[in-house]
Amino acid sequence: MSIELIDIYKSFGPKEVLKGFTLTVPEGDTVSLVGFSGSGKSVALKHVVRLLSPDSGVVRVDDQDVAGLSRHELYELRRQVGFVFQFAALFDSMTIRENLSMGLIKQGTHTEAEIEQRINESLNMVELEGFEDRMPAELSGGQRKRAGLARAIAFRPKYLLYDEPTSGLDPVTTTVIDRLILKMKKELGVTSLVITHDMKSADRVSDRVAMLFEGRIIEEGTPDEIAKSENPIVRGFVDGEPELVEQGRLDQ
Amino acid sequence: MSAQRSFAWIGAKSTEGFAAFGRFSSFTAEAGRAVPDLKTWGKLLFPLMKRIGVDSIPIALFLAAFTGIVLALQASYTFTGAIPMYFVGTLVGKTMILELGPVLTGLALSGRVGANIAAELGTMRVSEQIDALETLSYNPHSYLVVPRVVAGLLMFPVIVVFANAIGIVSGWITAINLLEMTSQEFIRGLRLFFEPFDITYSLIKTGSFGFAITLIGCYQGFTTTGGAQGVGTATTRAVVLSSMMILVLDAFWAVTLLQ
Amino acid sequence: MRFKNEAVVGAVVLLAVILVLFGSFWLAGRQWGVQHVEIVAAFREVGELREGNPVNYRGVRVGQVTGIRLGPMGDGVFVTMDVNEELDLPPDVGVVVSPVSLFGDWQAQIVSQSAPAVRQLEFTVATVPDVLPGAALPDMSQLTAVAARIADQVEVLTERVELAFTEETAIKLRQAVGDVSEITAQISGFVDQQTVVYDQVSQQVLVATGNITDATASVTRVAQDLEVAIQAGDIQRMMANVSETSENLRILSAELGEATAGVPSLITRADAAMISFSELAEDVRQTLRVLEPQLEEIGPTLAQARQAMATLDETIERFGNDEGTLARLADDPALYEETQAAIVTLRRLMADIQSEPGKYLRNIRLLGR
Ligand SMILES: Nc1ncnc2c1ncn2[C@@H]1O[C@H](COP(=O)(O)OP(=O)(O)OP(=O)(O)O)[C@@H](O)[C@H]1O
Ligand SMILES: [Mg+2]
Repeated sequence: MSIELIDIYKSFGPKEVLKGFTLTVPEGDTVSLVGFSGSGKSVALKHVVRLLSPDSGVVRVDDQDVAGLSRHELYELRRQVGFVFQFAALFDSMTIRENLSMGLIKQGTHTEAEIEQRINESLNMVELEGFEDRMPAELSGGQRKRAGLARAIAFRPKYLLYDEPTSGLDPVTTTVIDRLILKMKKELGVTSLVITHDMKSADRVSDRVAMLFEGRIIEEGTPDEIAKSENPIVRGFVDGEPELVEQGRLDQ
Repeated sequence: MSAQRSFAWIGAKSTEGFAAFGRFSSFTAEAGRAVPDLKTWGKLLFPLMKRIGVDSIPIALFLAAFTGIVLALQASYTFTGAIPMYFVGTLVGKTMILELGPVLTGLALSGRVGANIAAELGTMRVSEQIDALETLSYNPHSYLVVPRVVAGLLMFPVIVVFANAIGIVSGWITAINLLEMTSQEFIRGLRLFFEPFDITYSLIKTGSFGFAITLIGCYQGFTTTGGAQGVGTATTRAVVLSSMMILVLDAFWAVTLLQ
Repeated sequence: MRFKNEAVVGAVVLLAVILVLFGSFWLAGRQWGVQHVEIVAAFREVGELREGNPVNYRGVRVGQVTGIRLGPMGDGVFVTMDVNEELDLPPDVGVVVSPVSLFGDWQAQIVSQSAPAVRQLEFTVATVPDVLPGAALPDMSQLTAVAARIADQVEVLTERVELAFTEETAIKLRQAVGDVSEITAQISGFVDQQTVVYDQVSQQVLVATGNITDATASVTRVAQDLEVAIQAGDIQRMMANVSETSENLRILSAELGEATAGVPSLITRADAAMISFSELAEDVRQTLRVLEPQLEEIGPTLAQARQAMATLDETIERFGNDEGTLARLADDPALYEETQAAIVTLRRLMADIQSEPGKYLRNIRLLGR
């Protein structure tokens, strides 16, 4: 019941984004994927649910080869995966309540009362209680991001993919979201892949951290191991020192 | 050298054209496969029928009313002397039902409906809302494309029924008030060459316009790339392509059904 | 909210459906609440009759054509009509289909076969019972098309004449001229028939035709005079008559102009037609004047020449002889065009004879053979 991305290559036109990207998220673990802006983290994440298909390489989720799934099987799989978009991607023609109900309705096993209860619960978790009847346009960026997160967790998926769930949030809210991620893992045994820039966050929520650089994972380990890494690029990234990164690039 | 370059250009353009046609075809096929998924799109249909259909009626009626007036006046202007005046009724009725009702409405609605759909879906595409639908295991074809196309297919004929009626009535009123014809004369002309098939033809044609406009709008929306500017491009393209398609379909139906 | 959408959409769709049903019913000219019965009639052919065309009885609309199909066993065409139930049909009932105007709209009329207007029509009687006998009036446009074809033939022949005026072309020319006369007769007969059958000639034209009758009497007189003159071989008298002819034609034009003063379009048309006739007569006169000095030398061919002229005159006479034709000619652009074309062609021939009389004189005797 893990997520495996094996030797993925992906280009957009002449631009090669992923070049032999390999990453495994074991069942029940939370893995953070870090890397520079534009390094291809969001692209990698979208491969997990076949929003993008690799040029070559294998994606396995739930022990199934994602590329080989029929449409029906794919939708079956997606029903178990919650996806938190970097820019929320709320349906802007719907209220927050309707946004959250979409996944629940699709599962088809809930009564209206259950759905309502689940929506309230989820909004509570992201500290957005009372926002049910707002339209997305009436929310701030951070609120929208949290609503997107609530939408992904509302239907209690087995897998959660977070694309920068905490960027743009204040430190307190960031902690609240981090706790939420931990709670999902502990209480529901969710397998999560979290994209983040925030090393403190990564440290708090993840079992392992992986660093994406120039299309592949250059370092992977527990948060502690990453913090003590000798690799100049990882060092440069963690400490925020461009010179180190530049030196590391030249060393390669 | 420049000849070679222009051949290369033609080659590239035609390959591009074929590829675009291929993409549109597979998009259409995908939408076709989503049609049985009534559970998803059924409940979305009525709001869209209202938005695409009912809300478009005023503009269609406005157009038709003025068209009817102009048709009546031009007919009488053309018919000086030799041709009996009751043919004004014939010309207004036939032209309105067979051609101007469907085509003018179609062209107006390619702007109103086609652009609206392309802009809406284009925005959804660039803000990843369509991806979000996918991750919630909704088939975006069943959820977004099918209900719009079905609403267009069903509601365009409805709109044109009203447009035709208003066009004829305004032509009639013009004939009585400005052309010194009697109602009896006008009705005689109106009925002269009328065949029930005219209405069927009008409705078939309009249905195809509704289908084309909504499908092209959806396709342009779905294939939008690159932010607000991309949405603008997609919208423009949707209007241009669906207007062209209306004229092509117009000729197609005339060739296949009127011969 | 969703319920409201559904209600609005439902109401609009329903309204559209009602509008379509009501509209097609109304446009097709059906009537509500009247019981209809179906009658069937057999025809040899039905021209441009279409489903939905009106069925009239004594000029009153009583139903419409609902079906047209080929009859079984070579019985021609079976036309099905829906008519009001309470209709009292005459004992020798028949159905006549005919054009209403020149623009392709037709009608079916329920008539008594012995009515004077339709007595001469040949009714098709089907072998199947309960099928009424029917007859179709020929389509005016077909007749004018034939006339146009003949005018074309005349033109082609005229061109050939200039190249080689042989015995064969002379005979053909004579045939063509004969054809023109014949088709003219046919058209005039047909038009009269229509005039009677439709009883639709407008009041103004009726008044005009009264005057035109007087005018056409002059034409007849002129034609007869011409004929007599030619037969007598008296050149001097002939010339006098020709002058008189053109004078009379001129008077006729004036009379006609007066007669149709109330009908502006009629005036111009009829005037133009009459001017054409006068010009033609003028041409004939001039031609004869040119020929005059040589006429004595070619005495033996004179009889044949007379005959040729007589044929031309007959054409003129045919046009002038018949009030229905003239009225129709004035009102019908197509027929008018055809007539004009024929006249122009003949005039061209006359002009040619004037310019090169020698060429024709050599061969003119062939015309009479
Ligand atoms: N649909 C696309 N078409 C073309 N290029 C793309 C597309 N999506 C991503 N890219 C390119 O791939 C690269 C990686 O993009 P991606 O969104 O994965 O970056 P990221 O690592 O998520 O960055 P950030 O941290 O800023 O979100 C970028 O250079 C981007 O230009
Ligand atoms: Mg990203």
